Amino acid sequence: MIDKNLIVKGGSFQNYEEAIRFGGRLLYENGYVDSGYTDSVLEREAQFPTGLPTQGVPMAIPHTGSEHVLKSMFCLVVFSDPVMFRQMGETSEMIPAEIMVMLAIDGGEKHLKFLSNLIGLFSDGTVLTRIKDAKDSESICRILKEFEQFNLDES
Amino acid sequence: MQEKKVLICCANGVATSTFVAMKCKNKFKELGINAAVTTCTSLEVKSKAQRLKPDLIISNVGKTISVPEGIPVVYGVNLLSGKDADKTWEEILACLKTE
Repeated sequence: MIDKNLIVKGGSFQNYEEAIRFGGRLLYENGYVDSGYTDSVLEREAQFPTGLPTQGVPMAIPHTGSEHVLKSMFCLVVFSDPVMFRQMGETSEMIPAEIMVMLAIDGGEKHLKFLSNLIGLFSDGTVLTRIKDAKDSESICRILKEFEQFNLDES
Repeated sequence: MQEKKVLICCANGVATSTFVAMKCKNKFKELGINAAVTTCTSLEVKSKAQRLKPDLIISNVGKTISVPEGIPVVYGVNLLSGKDADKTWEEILACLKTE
């Protein structure tokens, strides 16, 4: 479940709002979410931040409830320069995120498989480093596909 | 062995709680722990915990959630990030030990 239109290498953003607006627009333009999705994600990010101190490569996983989602998908952006996100939970820690994986989850049964495919990605520093260092979005897609296959074999 | 109950909450009850639930299910299976895993939102967690009476609550939104007295709360974010996840697993497994 990868849409190469939503895999972006080298986005440069002033702050997390800009990054989320960028990802939200891509999801919207490609028909995965409705027009209210981005604002809903921004609102949620302010209340429940999603920065994660992942090993090697810090990241953020902005998302919202399923009400604005038409079809489950994710948008992955490798930032040119780290973008500061607040850490998930009740800390005041800031995370200099190098990768953003913006989630659109429709709440259906299939989203479980989708989420399980992404789990290893989050906690596996080597995969994140390879994605960060990949030279273009094509290479990132190849890494993700490899990874998805790995997960399907495991289940 | 009596079945243990684990309740996992996050902001929407759909994304990070599902991640952590899957990690828990795999871990419990691997260790032969008989535990049911349920997910909910941070708003539902109090009422759900009252009904379900879980042995443990894992929260992805921080530890200051409002829950019934006596139920331990573990902060689940390390399970998402992988950083210090071992410590979090220790905390979780300690809550599920049978007396």
